[in-house]
Amino acid sequence: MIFFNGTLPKKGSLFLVSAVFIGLILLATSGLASETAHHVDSGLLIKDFAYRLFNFVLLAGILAWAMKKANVKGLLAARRADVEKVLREADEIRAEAERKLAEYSEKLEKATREIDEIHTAIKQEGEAEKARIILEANQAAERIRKQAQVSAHQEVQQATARLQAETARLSVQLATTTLKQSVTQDDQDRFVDEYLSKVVEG
Amino acid sequence: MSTNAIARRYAKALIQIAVGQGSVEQYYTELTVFSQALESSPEATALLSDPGIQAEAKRELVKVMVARIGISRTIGDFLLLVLDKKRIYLLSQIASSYRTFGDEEAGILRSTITSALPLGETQVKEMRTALEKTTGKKIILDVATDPSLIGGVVTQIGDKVLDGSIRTQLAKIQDILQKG
Repeated sequence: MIFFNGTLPKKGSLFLVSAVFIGLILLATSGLASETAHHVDSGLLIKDFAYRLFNFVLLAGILAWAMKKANVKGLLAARRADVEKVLREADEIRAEAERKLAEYSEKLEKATREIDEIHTAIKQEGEAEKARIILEANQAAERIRKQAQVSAHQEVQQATARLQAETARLSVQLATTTLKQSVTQDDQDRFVDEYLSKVVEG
Repeated sequence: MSTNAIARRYAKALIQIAVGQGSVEQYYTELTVFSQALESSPEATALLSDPGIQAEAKRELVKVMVARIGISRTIGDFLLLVLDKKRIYLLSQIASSYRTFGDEEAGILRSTITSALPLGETQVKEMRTALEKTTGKKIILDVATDPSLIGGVVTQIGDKVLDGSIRTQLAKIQDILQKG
C-alpha cells in the first residue's frame, strides 16, 4: 500500500490492524450464530444486549487501542504534513511558475515591443529610403531633363549657326562671283575716289 | 640681345655717318648690293661663316668683293668691322634697319598700294598726295595689282593697313550674316 507521503507503513502496524479486523469479523459471526440458534426471551434479550454491549465496548476499546497502537493520529499528522508540504511545494512551484510566467511574459512583451520598435524603425527607414530614392530619382530626372534641354538648345543653336554660316558663305560666294564679273573700270575708279576721300578725311 | 636689336645698333651707327656725309641713299644701295652678292654666292657665305678659316683670309675676300662691286671706302670699312665682330650673317637685317632709319631721317614713308585693277598715273599721284597729307611725310609708293581684291585698293604704311577692297567688305558682310 502506498501512502500520500510516498512511504510504506510499518510492518507491525499493518499486522495489528489486520488482526483487529479479523477479530471483529469473528465476533460478529459468533453473535449472529447465537441469535439464529436459540429461542428468543426477555432475559436472554437483556443478556444478549449486555453481551452485545460488552462486545461493542470491547470492540471499541480494541479499536481505540489498535488505533492508538497503529498511531493513526501520527499517520494522519504525517499525512497532513506531507499534503501540506506537497501543497506548499505546489504553491512554490506555482509561484515559481507564475514568476517564470511573469518573467517570460515580460520578456515576451519586451521582445514584442522591441520587434514593434524594430519594425517601426525599419518601416521608417524604409520610408526614408524610399523618399530619398524618389528624391534622387526626381533630381536625376530633372538634371537629365535640363541637360537634354541644354543639349537640344545647343544643337539648335549650332544648327542655326551652321545654317547661318552656310547661308552667309553661299551669299558671299554668289556676290563675289557676280561682282568679279560685273565690276568695271568705272566702278574701280569710283572705289578709288571713295577710298581717297576716306583717307583724306581719316 | 636679339639679332634684330644688334642689327639696329650697327644700322644706327652707320646712318649717323651717312647723314653726316650726305650719302644715305648711296650707302643703302651699296649695302644692299653687297648683301645680295653674298646671298647669291653660297660659297662666299660659307667661307665667311666658317670658324676654321683665318680672319685675315675672310678680310681679303671681303676686300676683293668690295673692290669688284665698287663699294665706297666707308661701307668697305663698315663691312670689315662687321666681319671682325662676326656679325656678317646679320648684313641683310642691318640693311633693312638702315633703310628704316634712313627713311626716318629723310622724313620718308614707304607705302604699298595694291589695287584690284591697274591704277592710272593720276590715281597714283592722287593717292600719294592724299597719303602725304594724312601722314605729313613724303610717301614713296610701291604699286601692285591683285585681282582677288575684286574692287577697291589696299594701302599698307608700315604696320598700318588701310583696306578699301571689295573682298574685305564681303568678308565683313559674311561675318555679320554669320553672327545674325
